[in-house]
Amino acid sequence: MAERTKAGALAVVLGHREASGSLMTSDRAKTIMSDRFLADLLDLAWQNQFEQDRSAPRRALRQLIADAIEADRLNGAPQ
Amino acid sequence: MRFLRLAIENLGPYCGRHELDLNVTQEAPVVLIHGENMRGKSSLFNAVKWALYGSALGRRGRAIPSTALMSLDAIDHADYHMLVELDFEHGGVEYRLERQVQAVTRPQADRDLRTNVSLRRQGHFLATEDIDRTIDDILHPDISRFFFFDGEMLNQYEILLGDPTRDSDLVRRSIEQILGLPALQLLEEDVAEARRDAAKRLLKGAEVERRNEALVASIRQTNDELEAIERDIREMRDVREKASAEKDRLTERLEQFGEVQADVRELDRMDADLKDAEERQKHAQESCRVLLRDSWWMPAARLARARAEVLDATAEEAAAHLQHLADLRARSTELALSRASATCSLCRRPLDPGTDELLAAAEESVADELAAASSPASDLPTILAERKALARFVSEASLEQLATAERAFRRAGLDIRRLRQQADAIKDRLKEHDRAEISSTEMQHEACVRQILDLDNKIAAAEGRSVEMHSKLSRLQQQMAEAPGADPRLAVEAALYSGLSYLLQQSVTSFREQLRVQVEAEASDIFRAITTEPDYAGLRINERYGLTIVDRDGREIRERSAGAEQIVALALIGGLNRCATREGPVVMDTPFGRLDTRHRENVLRFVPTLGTQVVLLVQSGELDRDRDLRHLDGVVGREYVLMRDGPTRSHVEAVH
Repeated sequence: MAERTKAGALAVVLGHREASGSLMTSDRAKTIMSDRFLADLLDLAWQNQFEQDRSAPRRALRQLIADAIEADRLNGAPQ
Repeated sequence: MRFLRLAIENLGPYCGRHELDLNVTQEAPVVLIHGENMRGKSSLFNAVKWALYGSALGRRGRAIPSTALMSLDAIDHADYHMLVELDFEHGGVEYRLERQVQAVTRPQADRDLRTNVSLRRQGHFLATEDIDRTIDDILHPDISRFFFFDGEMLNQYEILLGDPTRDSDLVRRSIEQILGLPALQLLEEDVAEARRDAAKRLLKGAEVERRNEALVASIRQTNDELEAIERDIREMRDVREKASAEKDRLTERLEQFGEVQADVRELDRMDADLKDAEERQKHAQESCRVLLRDSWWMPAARLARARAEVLDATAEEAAAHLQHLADLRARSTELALSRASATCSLCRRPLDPGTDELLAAAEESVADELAAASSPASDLPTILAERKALARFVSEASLEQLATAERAFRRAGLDIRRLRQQADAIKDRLKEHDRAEISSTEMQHEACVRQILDLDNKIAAAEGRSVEMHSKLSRLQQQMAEAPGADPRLAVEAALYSGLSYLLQQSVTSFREQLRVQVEAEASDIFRAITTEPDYAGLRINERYGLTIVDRDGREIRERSAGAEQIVALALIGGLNRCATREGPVVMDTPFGRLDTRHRENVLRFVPTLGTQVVLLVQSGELDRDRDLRHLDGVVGREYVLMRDGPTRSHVEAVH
C-alpha cells in the first residue's frame, strides 16, 4: 500500500510535468527533470516526510539537484 | 512492520516477566487476546506504544506517566523496574526494541526513573541517537493512531462524523500525514526555499556587471511579483478552506433544519394557495353580485317561464286558427270565381250543367264555416309582444352562470377553511423553531457558496498570473545565463528550481484530491462489507475528511445509531490503513463495544483483511469465544487469555 501511495504521488507529479516544462525556457532544466530524477526526488520527500528540522532534507535536496546538473554536464550538455 | 514477540516485566497487572509470541502468517494474521475488564488488555496495548514511542496515551489523549504503568505488586515487593521487549520485522530485517525504566527507591514520579532504550537490527545495536529516527521511519507516532486504536479513538472519529468542523484540523492533518501528503507539501516548501536562494545567488553573481543592471532589476521585480502572487494564492486558499468549513457547518445545520424547512416550505406553499383561494372566492362573490344585480327577476323566473309556456301555446293556437281562416277564405274565393266564369278554377274547362248547384252548396258550406270560425281568436301580436318581453327573464344561461359562480364561491370557502386548519397545525409544530434563524442560516449558506465561487475564480486568475510570472522569470533567467559574468550552471539550477516549484504547487492540490477519492473508495468498500443495511451504498468524504453515509439514490443519511457511527469510523480507519504511506500491524483494543450481533459478525470477517497482522484485544461482552470464533475460523494465528491472579495481578495463558 505504501508503495502504491508513493507511486500515486509520482504519477501526479509526472502528470503535471509537461505543463511546468512549457514554462521553462531552459532546455537543460527540462532535460534534467527526467522520470528518474523526479522518482529520486519523491524518494527523498518520502524519506523526510516526518522530519521537523528541514535543514538536513534541504541539504539533501540541493545535493540531488547539484548531482543531477553535474550528471547532465557529464552527459555532454552544452555549457 | 510485523510484530514477532512481546515480553513485559512489571507492567500494569503483569508482575514479573510475561511473554507473548505474536509471530503469525499471512494466512492466519490474527492474534486474539481475550480478557475481562481489569485483566490488563489496555496494559498490553499501552506496552506496545510505550515500547515504541516512550509514552502511552490514556483517557482524552493524555500521556500516562511511566510510573503509572508500573506494576503495583512489583513496587510493593521493592522491584522498581519495568521492561518491555518488542521483536519485530520490517522490510525483511529483524529488530529487537527494549525499553526499560529503573528506580533506586520507590518511584513517585517519572523524574525518579532512569530510562534505558536499545534497538538491535539483525542482532547489532544501533546508536542511541538513531533509535527514534529508525522507529519513526518504520511507523511514525503521528500516524500510529491509525494502527493502534481503541474505543476512545473510535469515539473521536464519531465526533468528527457528528460535527465535521470540530477538531477537523487535527484530524485532517493526521489523516493527510498517514496518506503521505506532507511529503509533497514539505518538498514544495523546500524547493521554494531553494528557488529563492538560487535566484539570490544568480543575481548576486550578475550584479557585478553594470551591463546586467536592467536584467537584474527585471528578475528581481518578477521574483517579487511572483512571490506576492503565490502569497495571495496561499492566503486565498486559506480563506477558501475556512469558507468551505463554514459552508459544511451551515449545510449540516440546514440539514438539521430539514424537517422544519419542509414545514416552512409547506407553509409558504399554503400561504400561496390560501391567497389563491381567497382570490377565487372574491372573484366568485363578485360574479354572483353582478349576476344577481342584472338578474333581479330571478326569483320570479319560474313564474315567467310558466307564463312564457302559456303564451307559446296560445300563440301557436292563434297562428293555427288564422291559417284555417285564410284557407277557408281562399276556398270561398275560388268557388265564387268558378261559378261566375262557369269554368273550373283549376283546369279552366267549362263546367258541366248542374255543377253550379253543387258549387253553390259548397260555397254556402264554406261561408258557414267562415261564419263559425270568425269568432274572435287571441290577439297574436299582443301575445308575441308579451312573449318577447318575457324572453330575457326565462334565459337558462344566467341561471347556469349563477350556479357556477355559487359553486366556485363555496369551493373556495372550503379550500380556505382546509388550508387554514393545515397551516395552523404546521404553525403549532414550528412554534419551537425560529424561522428567522433558518432563513438567516440559508442566507449565510448562500453567501458562503458565493464566496467560495468568487475565491475559486480569483485563485484561478492568480494561478494564471503565476504561470505568466514563472514563464517570464524562466525567460529572464535564460537571458541571465547568457549575460556577461553570469554562471550558466547557476542559471540552470535556478530554472530547475523554478520549474519544480511550479510543478509541486500543482501536484499537491491534485495529490490531495486523488488521496481523498482513494480513501473514499476504500472506506466505502469496507463500509459496504460490514454494514448490515443493504440500501447503504457507501461513504462520502468531504475536503476535511468528514464522512456521511449515502444510500443507493445518492442521498445522504444523517441520522445514525451509535453502532452505525462505529461502523463508519472503522471503515474510515480501514480505508486510511489501506492507503497509508506506511504498513504496520493493527492493534485494536475493545473495538466492538456497541455493535449488534450481525455487525460484529461482519466486522470479524473483515478484520483479517485490515492488515498483514491484526492484534485484537477483546472482552467476552463483545466477543464470545464459543459463539463468535467461527467467524474467525482459520485466520487466528495466536490466541491468549488474560487470567486473574488477584485484584492487581494477571498473567497471560496461550490457548494454542
